Amino acid sequence: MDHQPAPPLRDAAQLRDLVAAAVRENPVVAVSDPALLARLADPAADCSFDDLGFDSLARMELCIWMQVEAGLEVTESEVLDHPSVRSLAAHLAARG
Amino acid sequence: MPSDAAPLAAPLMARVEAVARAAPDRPAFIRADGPVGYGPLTRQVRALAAQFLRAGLAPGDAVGITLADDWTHILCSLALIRLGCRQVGLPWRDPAPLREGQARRIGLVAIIADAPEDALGGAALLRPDPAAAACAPDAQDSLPPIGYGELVMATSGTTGRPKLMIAREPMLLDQAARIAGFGAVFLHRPSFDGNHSKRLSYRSLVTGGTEVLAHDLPARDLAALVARHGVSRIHLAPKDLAALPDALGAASWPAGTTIVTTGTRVPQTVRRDVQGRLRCALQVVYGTTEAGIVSIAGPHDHEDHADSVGRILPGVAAEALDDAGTPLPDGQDGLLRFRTPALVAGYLDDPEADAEYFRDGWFHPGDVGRRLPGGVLLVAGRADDRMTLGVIKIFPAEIEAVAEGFPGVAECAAYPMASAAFGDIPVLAVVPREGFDAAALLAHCRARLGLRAPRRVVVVPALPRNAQGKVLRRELAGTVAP
Repeated sequence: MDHQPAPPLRDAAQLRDLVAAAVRENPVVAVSDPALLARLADPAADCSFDDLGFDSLARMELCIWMQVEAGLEVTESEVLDHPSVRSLAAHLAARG
Repeated sequence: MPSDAAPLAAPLMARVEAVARAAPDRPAFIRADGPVGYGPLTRQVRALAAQFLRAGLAPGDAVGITLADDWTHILCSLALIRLGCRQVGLPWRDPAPLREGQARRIGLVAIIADAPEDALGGAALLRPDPAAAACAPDAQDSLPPIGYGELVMATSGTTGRPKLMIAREPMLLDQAARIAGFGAVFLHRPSFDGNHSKRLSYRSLVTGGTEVLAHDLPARDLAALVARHGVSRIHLAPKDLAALPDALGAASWPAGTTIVTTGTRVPQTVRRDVQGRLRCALQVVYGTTEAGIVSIAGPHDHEDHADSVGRILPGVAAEALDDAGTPLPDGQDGLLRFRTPALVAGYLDDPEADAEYFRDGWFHPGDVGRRLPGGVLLVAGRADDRMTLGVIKIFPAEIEAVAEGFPGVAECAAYPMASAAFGDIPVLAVVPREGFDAAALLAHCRARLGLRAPRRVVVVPALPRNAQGKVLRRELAGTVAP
């Protein structure tokens, strides 16, 4: 298999990269705006799911991606409660 | 049960004897050493039946058969039917404890075998003498009237102990005329040592057909044998069918031979590939061991719909039910139920399974599908295999139908990954071949299936299957961690 499940991550920076990857791989919302892509790629920047155009389906796919690719179960309400790349990553890091 | 209510047709062996009287020289079988006519065949069967009577067998007795030689097996099986006995195949390859358990469960009085150690479970050893039967005087006058034979059949399912059932003659001869209509000179693989193969032989004999006996052969030799004997119908397991076009290589397939295969779902890509490359008609039989044949998908059904199993046969009733058990109108998916002239009465000492699968005179196989106007039946898959992602119901078959035939995919099977939040996340296990690209396959599935697409591809060296070749999805879900 080309990707192996990542080992458990606790580091917020790594989790931020992971959430950003989940956004880029989202099959429902394709992010093409260069400014948004730059913010996604910049570890110091943040990006809200609203700005990214995420709807309910996109949130579901984000959660599914996190489980099948990284082995992390994330619920849609966690995404709603932590509605940006950085806040979701921080939440997942704190959640452990 | 319908077959109880219907007036009994002439016994199987009475019908074979009628062919023998009308055309004694017509070949019933073609062996490697030459043809065997209906006349000599029925005479040998009578002689063996007389041997069995002298050994103490009586009509109605339950008898096992453990024989390595197919030809002797055929003769013994027919002799038991002639006597009106119940028979069960206890193949050699099955371990002795399994055979012993079956012998006790069925209450066998004798086991036809060559070696004393094969007489298991308290049954007597009955050693046949086919050589003596071949030159014995006709035993017609020493035999009781022709009886009705029975065959004990087993289904494995995917879990649990095998379910046994008694197949009476309507089941043994299910759709004999229709199958003969695909070609009177036939061969099938694997050998006679199995209930499916046995029933094909019985059906051929009552319709005056000719069976070419063949052992496992490479594809080219098979094609040559088919051509040499003018075989017009060949039965292949789905796996052998799928492999045939490539296995033939540059060798050509004899024109005018119909290929018949059986399976709940033979992929549409395989059906098209075989028909296109071999330039022959393909008939895909859909049915169950318990109810017999429900429908047959012919050459024109393969293009229409990926899930088509063909038109429901005359005399067969098939309905899709809603959750309350009420029949649904055409076009709506539900759990299927069947009523056929071949339906068995139920399982042997398994009231729990009877209550689940046999209800109100119908057989409920656990398949989900729908009828279309005109009597075409679509089967989406087994209810047990259905995945639920959020509120979306997804069958493995619909995913597999899209993935099969994609470049680099040799075989595939969809299965669920459990998610607390979403239920079942569909995942696709793929046995790859050259040129496989997992990301391209996922994108291809997504474009065609949308939310029903698999979310991940897992590469495996082989798909786990049971002895019947069914993919064990539970095993995939349990052992293949994505």
